[in-house]
Amino acid sequence: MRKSFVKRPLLNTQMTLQITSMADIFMIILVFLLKTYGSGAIDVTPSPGLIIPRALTGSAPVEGLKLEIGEKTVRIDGEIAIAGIRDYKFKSDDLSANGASKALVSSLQRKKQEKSGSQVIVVADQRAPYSTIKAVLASAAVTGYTDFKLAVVNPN
Amino acid sequence: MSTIDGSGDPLARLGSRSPLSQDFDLNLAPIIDCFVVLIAFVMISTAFASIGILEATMAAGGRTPTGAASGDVRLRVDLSADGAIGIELSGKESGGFIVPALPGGRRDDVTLSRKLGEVKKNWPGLKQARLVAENTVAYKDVVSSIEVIRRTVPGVALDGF
Repeated sequence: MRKSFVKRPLLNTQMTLQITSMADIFMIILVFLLKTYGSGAIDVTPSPGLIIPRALTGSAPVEGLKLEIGEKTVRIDGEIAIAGIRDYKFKSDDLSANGASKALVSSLQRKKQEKSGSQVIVVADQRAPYSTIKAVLASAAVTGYTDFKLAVVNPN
Repeated sequence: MSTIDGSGDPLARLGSRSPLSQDFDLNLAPIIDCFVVLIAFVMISTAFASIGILEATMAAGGRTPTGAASGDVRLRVDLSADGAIGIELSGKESGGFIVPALPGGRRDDVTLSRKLGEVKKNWPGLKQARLVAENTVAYKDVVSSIEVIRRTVPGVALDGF
């Protein structure tokens, strides 16, 4: 074989990566995620450990006072209203004859002065007993909140 | 190393191109870094659960209280702690039946739905039902029963206060 004495040009090992398409993909993913961020009917941020029951719904978005019933606390619009409950149950001395919680009624009355309206969104843990739900609903009704909505996780 | 013309040849910098050439490569690496961090943050912090609303009224004192004004018959559904479901009719038709619990204490929502369908077939004007549960019944079961009842009867009022 004849050896060529012509010096071959060196192969260029340095290359530029085409990242424009990758940037496009990232942009699309980012826009999609931002669009689906908080796509629920209502803006609810449940406390850690709270499990909202699942049910099929078709209701339109609503706004109202959020009453969250957890294992140890009851929150009104994210703020702790009652911290002394155990295993989702109110203390027996806190319950009045009509089934309402005295502490919750006073908290709701304070809230009623700040925020008008009669709509309440109940965000309750699925393990809470019906007696606690009744106590919360009765407390809300006594204070003037009579339009109840139950927050659930839509399985779809 | 990126060069002015993107060829990778450092000598191109000193080549024939004018120093004022408009041909340059945009450095996208930091933008990509930002996107990666943003996407990771959004994916971690997003709860992909869609919160919905289940309508329910109070049988006494609610916005649309139910009671005698439910048409010809009144329907009451009772949830007991052992998983059984009682259905009671009053008014122009009186009667009731019990849907026994499934093995393991689970509620038989299929039979409940079927029985309610039979009631609705006889009384198409029935628009509301009262739901009563024992104190120890979990909220999950109450919500599940509301969902089943609403497939047949549009209005559900919580009762037992």
